[in-house]
Amino acid sequence: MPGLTSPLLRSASTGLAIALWWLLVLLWFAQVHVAAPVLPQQRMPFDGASFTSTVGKGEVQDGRLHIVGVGDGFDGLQVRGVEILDATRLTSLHYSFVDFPRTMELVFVFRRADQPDDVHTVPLASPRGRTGSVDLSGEAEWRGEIAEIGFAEYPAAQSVPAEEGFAPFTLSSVELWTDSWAGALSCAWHDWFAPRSWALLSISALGPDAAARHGRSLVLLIASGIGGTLVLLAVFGVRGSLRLRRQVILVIAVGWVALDLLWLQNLFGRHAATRVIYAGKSAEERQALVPDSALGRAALRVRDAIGAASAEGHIIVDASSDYERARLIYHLLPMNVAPGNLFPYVDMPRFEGSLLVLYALNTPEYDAESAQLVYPDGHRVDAQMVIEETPLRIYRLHQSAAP
Amino acid sequence: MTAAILAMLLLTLALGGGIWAVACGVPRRAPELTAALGPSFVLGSCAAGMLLGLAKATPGNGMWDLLWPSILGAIVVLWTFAWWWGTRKTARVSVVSEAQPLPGWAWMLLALLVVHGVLISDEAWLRPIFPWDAWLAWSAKAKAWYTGSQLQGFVGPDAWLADRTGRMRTSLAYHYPELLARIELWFTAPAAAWNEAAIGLSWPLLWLALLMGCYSQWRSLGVAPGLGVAGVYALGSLPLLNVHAALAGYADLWLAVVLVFAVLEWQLFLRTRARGRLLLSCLFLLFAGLFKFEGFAWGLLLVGTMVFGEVPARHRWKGLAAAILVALLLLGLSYALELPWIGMVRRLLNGEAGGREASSWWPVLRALVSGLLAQNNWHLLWLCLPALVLWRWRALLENRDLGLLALYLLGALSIVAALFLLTPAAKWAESNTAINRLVLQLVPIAVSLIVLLLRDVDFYLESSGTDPVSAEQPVAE
Repeated sequence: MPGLTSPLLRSASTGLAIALWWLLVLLWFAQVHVAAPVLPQQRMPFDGASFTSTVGKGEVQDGRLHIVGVGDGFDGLQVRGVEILDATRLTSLHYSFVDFPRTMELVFVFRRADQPDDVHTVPLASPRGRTGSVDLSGEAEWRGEIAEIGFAEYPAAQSVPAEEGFAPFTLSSVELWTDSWAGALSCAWHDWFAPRSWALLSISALGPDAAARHGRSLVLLIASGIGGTLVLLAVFGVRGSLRLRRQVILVIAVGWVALDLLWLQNLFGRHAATRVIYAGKSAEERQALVPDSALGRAALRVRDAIGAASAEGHIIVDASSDYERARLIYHLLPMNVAPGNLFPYVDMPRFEGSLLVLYALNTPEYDAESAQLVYPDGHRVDAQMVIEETPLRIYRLHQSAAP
Repeated sequence: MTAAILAMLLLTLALGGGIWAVACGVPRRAPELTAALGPSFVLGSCAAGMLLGLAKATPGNGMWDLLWPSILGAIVVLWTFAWWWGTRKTARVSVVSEAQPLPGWAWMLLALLVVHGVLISDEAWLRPIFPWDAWLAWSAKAKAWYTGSQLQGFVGPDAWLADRTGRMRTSLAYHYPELLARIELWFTAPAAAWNEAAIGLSWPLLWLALLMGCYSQWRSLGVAPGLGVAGVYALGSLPLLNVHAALAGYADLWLAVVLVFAVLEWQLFLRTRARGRLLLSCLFLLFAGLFKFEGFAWGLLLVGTMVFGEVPARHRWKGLAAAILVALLLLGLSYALELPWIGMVRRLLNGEAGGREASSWWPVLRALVSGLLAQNNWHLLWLCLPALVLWRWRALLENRDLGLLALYLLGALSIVAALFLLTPAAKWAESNTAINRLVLQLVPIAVSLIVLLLRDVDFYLESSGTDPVSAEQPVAE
């Protein structure tokens, strides 16, 4: 067929093949069910105003729920009763918020009719612009009859000081859709491009650092698209090794820059949250504004309680988690502090005169009558109580009389 | 404070520049000066940190006044020696190419890098030290020293318990190398307070130094300006590298930078046989060991590869034996001197350092592959590298220097894989934590290998030269 050898037709057919390949890749990575209809057959809409603010303060206006305050834990919760008879049919959740703060994280909550005492949660990516979508088909508990749905919001767990997280926002509307191409693409799109918050895991892995992640890898999507494009170019398209080399480098460069622009958008979102909290403050103010402000206050209390005595001896710090222990130690510097998990507690008798700081730990208990700390296995250590102000306790250790 | 911080940065550059000048000659032309900037920042920071270790007292807010005259003195000595040494030598070892105009697209890539730099720098400046190990290990030591006004030693728990003077400290990371903590002291000193913003700023500067240093070293290795900028963009755009610069506090970026500089200086030594380059390479390797324990492993491997590379190709088995012998000697020396990194390796292998062995290889391999390819850490880097190696394998065989570089990277990646597949460190692979950070330490070397593999491939994308594509004859069907 001489027509096929014409450069124009060759280019057009190669371009079409490449476009088809990208469409196939997109559908697979977006987890679109090919047999599903393009648009959802059923939609179940809920006005924002139909939700009730049970934690925090909400005001109904124009069919929407304006959240103007948070609860004691700087969090919020809005719920409403529903009658969803078969959750597995309505798996595409679409939520619309206005001015949702970059410093907060969002969770979808629901109760099943057969387990009215259990609340199930699904971490959500913050709305991108105003809307967000998530595919609930992978959630094991999203099945049967659903009796209640809602949204919980809280300051981004590891990167935002709790008291700085909230800003007023509005819950506009919520919809549940049956399976469709539009729903799947919307969920995948949101999964790939939604704003994310910094987490402690961000320093080690980008992707797993976000709890609200449900879909397939965008990087692999682009890599697969590029791989297929290069194969199609080599087989059908470009003639001449130098031209092919150029095309290869161009395709890879375009893919790399595209990924970079997406990363820049992601980085910009994360940084925007940082600016909300810290911009316009002095270095001293910023340094005092830490995500673990409760531990910072505990450290101040320790300083007040033990004062000048701190300089004289060793201070052993223990807490209910590695994070709290290490952070409390950092806040207490330059006191001569050591982490409790560095020593087995049977060594406590060697700490004559040392101070033991316990944070959010129920054990060892303090027996005031015998002036001893009592460990779960019955081991006892002589100690004098300095303060006991939950969650903080401080004791001065003495030679132990007997195990 | 700003003026003092600027003065500190100038002193850092001058100190590092002095070391550079001793090894490579006093820069006399603009390209030489530019080429020296990146490595000078790193050398200066490390040298200042080492000098700081000589002073036992660090009187907190008055530290800057105490320090800067000594650093200035060291700068004068170094530059005087460099000038004197330069007058005695006939051959200069600087091989930086002349400045050439950049193609238009390269400026667009540089503009994108500027956006990265602005975001990274602002994040590091605004956010107090955030990541876990920063306040567990390095910043904790620096803060204890600065706010306690004494460079107290960190010892094991038994020695700490036995100490009744209150001069000893302990922590979970008491045995970690301390160079980074001392560098943090140097960066907070001009702020006249414990200032995490000033400390944080050193990470974006390090990121910039990495990009500038790699560009200048690649150019010295014969890379065209356009390809050099593309390589710098590829390196500077890598998300996990950006994160380490933005969320300041971890030692991995420092280790990655000194390691790639050591490798590239070694490559320059192979190309020029200038001893100054070898000296710089060894100096960067020494710093690698002083940042993190892994630095010793990478250093040992590089020394072995260097020895292997010095033996003629026809005696490759003797070269391999010599490389293994030297590595074993260094290992034995570390053991005899009871260097902490040997203890760390032992604890890692027997499980005392925590962790647990993988129940099967599958979850570790999945985490490794996911970290390299599927997560948002490295864009397309780990797909492009093997594809390029397959395409350019002849170049690796024909160009011995390049082959040695590839061999080194392969060896280092094999160590990473073996560590997580065969030891209790598997836990940190499955949790997506240490595994990606260990890879990060090798990423600049991987990008360097890509750039050097493409060095002799002509895409006719540079600003000068004729474009043969337009003249290429259509292929007959």
